[in-house]
Amino acid sequence: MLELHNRARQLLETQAVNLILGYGEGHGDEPRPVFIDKPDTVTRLIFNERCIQNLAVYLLKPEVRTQGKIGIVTTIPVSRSILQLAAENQIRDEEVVLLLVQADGKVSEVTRFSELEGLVAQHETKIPAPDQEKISILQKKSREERWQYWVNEFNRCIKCYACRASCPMCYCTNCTVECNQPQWIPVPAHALGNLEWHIMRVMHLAGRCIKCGECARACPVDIPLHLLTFMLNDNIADIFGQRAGMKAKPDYVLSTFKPDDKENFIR
Amino acid sequence: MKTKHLNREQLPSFFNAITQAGKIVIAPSRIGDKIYFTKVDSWEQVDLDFISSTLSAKAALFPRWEPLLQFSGDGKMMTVKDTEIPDTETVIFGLHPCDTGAFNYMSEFFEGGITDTYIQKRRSKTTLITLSCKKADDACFCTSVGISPGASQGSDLMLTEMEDGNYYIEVLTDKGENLTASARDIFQDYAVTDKTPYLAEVPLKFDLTPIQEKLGNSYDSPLWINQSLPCLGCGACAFVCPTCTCFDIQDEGDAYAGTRLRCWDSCGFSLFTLHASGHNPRPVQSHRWRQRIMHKFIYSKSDDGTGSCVGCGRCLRICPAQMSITDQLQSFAEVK
Amino acid sequence: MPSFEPKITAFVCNWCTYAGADLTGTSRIKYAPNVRIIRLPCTGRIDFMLILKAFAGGADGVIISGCHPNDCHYTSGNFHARRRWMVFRSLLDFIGFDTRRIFFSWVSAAEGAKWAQLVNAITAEVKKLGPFQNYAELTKSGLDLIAENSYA
Repeated sequence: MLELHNRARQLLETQAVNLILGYGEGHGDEPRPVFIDKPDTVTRLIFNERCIQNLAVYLLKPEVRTQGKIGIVTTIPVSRSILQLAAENQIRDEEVVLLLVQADGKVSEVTRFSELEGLVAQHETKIPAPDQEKISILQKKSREERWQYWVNEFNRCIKCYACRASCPMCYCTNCTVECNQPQWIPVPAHALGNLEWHIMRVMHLAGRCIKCGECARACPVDIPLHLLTFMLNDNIADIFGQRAGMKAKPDYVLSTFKPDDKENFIR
Repeated sequence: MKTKHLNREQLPSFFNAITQAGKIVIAPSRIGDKIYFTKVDSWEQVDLDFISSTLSAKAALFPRWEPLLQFSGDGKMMTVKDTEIPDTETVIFGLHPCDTGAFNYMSEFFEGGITDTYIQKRRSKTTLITLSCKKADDACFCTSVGISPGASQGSDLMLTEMEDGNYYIEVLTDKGENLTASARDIFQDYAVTDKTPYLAEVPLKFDLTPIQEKLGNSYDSPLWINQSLPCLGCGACAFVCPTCTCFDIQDEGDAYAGTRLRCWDSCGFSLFTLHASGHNPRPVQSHRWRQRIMHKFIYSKSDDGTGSCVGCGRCLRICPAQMSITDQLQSFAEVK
Repeated sequence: MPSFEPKITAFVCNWCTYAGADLTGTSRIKYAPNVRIIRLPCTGRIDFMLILKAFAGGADGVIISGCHPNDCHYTSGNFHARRRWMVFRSLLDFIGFDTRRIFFSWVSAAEGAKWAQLVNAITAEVKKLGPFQNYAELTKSGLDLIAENSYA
């Protein structure tokens, strides 16, 4: 942790960045996001295996952006989110300094996204085994059983949009749910509205989701939302070979095509 | 007030007596490893072993969404039909004192001044059975806002589990009396008892009155900006909160038939205060976060002056960014 | 008791399938009247939400049809549409949505006969599947509040 503190202090003192975004001690066992703007408070920063919240979500918030150049304590999911945001033209190299903390406490600073690509390519992109297990179990069920399962899960949805708010890819300032001419997604938390919301959310993340699982962690009623995005995005990677968050250049599955994309259902 | 004793094994009989009288019971039920208040049909579905439910029970009074009226037409005539709130009696079994305090606030809010007839009717048909808290966790702070693990205000019937697992009952209102009358033989008379040994310890997290004063003078404080940075602007805190009452009105349907309904809304959403002109008086999250805290502790009226927060801690437990309402208030305590 | 007649909504592209359906008509080929045709400039414009909205509006089956690959009036609209449908179907399937009720086809402006055959075949298939109960249950707006909002 000492090196992290030293680097953070140095970045702030030299004004290389105006704000450091990282993890701090929270309540119970959970770290919480911290925003450090004074060099003498860098000791609030921690880094350990419990630091899993995807902090990239804060990078595009106007309240953070207006502070100038940001330093961010970066995990692999955060790196992938940043690459995906860069691919979508939402962030540039000059706007962030990435602080990658290794297991031994050493910190490397990355300022070019092209460096990040090399790093990210070395890491596992497979769905974690317990989640893959849950997906496989669902895939083996009959269609009716799957429907009952999801309708039952969505029944608890209260349309708080925590899933949307915690996702770095959901950065639209005027989200489609806020459009009321026409009201695409019904506002109330009724069965139809909940289903439409979740289908729409996952489709808008198709080929953009880097599988951090933040949506499911944020959900106050424990709906396993990550199973939907994980399943779809792995499917897309298998069929089209396109994966989000690997490069800072766009390779979006739904805005590209191959003339010989193979399907078996068009009559 | 009458005081009674109830053997633990008689709880199912009490439950059955209530349902057999045609009443609906809403009680805590386990889904996964969390508790939700839900309509239950049998005692086996009830789980009273919890500190806090994930969602509050406010939906029993103020549902997630409810149709207010339905309209239909044939091109010439339009018919409008108001929703009839059914006459069914509801018993909410297993609230904790914080939640019962919340029902008090909700009733005051929706019935005082301009009366919300839908909620008023529902409240009049609802009986509240409160369970004293024998456990609490770090997120609980009822004692800092004028409530306690054994507080009986607003309850019709109060149950406190004693060390032998049986219950000390306080019958506080006519509604509570009617409920025990439906199963008279399972309740025994019992002397007035001090509940304190059976209650959880909930240490004070802050001293509210001086903080309220500081908050009142802190509208322009830069603390709001720093504190609100982690806030993601979702509606989770408002929706799990038992005293958040904001709602939206939506029309669904088409030119021939439809429903006007109301549903929960949150001041944390960025477009909550967006005017039709395009102007938004709370354009940044710090304004919205400030609004939330100020409303909870100063703007909302309550008899004891503590605002509307009941210290249940739900917002703390589910916030994806750990905003922690207690931390926020403690930081204002340190302001000169 | 009248037998069930499915309501089918068809989202078709203006240049190929709509023209093809026109040809079906001018050729006086009779086909099942269960379909309601909605004309869009290109299948590439068909948002997946339109399909969901058709079902929410009471459709028992939905057809999406456009130009054959390489024949798109806007060059590549149908290629994008094809990808979108592949992804969407995969998601719907995982959710347990009855994907047997969504039909995709390429029908050109010259394929009047194909359009008729397609609609007849699809109508028969959807008739066998019956009314879309899953969605009917979702869209029912009950006044029985306590049952409707059974979670607090």
